[in-house]
Amino acid sequence: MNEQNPLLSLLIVFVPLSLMAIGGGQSILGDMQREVVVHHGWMTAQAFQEIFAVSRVSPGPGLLIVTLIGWHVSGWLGAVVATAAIVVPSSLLVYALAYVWHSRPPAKWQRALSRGLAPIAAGLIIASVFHLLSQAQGQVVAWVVAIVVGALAIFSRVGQVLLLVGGTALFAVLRLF
Amino acid sequence: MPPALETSPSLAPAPGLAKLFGAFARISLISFGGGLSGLLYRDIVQTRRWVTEADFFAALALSQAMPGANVSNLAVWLGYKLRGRFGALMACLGTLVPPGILIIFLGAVIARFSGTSAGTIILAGVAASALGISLSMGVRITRRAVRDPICGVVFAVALGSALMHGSVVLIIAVLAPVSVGLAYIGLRDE
Repeated sequence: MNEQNPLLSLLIVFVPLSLMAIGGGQSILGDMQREVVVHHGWMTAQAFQEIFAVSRVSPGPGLLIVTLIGWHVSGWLGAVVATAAIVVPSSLLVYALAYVWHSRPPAKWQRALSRGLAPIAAGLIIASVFHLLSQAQGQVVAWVVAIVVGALAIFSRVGQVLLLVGGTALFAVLRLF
Repeated sequence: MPPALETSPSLAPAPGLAKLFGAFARISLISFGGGLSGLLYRDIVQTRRWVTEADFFAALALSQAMPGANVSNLAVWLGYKLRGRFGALMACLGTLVPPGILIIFLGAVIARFSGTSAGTIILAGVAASALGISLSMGVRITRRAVRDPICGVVFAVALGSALMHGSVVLIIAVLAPVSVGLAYIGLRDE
């Protein structure tokens, strides 16, 4: 492989991945690991797992794993280039659709798109919550906390910071006793 | 009282660019372990009333079907809807830049901190709570999306195949044309 310019390599790896990530970042994690660990040898599989774990417990979207990879490869500039490479191509596509979508009164194809995609989105959202909960620390406790917080979110006007703090307190109490 | 399922609630005026950046940055910075779109929903739709629930869910469904991270897609879409071109930029930057800087500084610290029991419990508790808020959003979008038996079947197939670890790309590639096509035919009959 030509590894003369790491910034260029980051672009070459992440721009295509940006356009492949249909349904969210989860779908490209496997390819990402292959490129980063096997193809370019930027880090060991162990280090990739650690970076993945850090991205899971840090605030912000999961795609920030790419920021950490970029930083690992080429410092702050690498972090910026890698993040831009994963975000800009897909964002331009969404921007173009948003532009077309809002530039005229809603046509039938737009209503058909949002109606037709909504049940798929609903199924995928619930499935991903179940999936994350099934891997969550605390197992049953995590499910109980999620269901209690979810019910409060639906049936009350409790603010979300309070929901997060209260849910965390409930989690701690249930785990410790 | 539960927030009413309104189709056209009284919306607040669109925020300025700085406020838009701040709102997306704040949500992004308090989300751990997934559930960001649920937090955005609760903040942008229910608390701030910047967009309607219908518009948010349409944006969410499109963000998922388009390539790219769902959250950055959603930020671009909502930012564009609220403040046009610069709104899209500000919402996207707000979602990514503050937590992006933080993740680099915290990288080493979190890796160490997450091994301690107190750290583990707090992070896992925040993650479970955020997933609860996502679950509430999932329930609401389901109630709204499943308007007839066909939608119910599409929902069940998407949920079932995703739970069985089917490829999300494949689920969308197969189901989306069918579901959107049926929706189009349904609209023609109205």
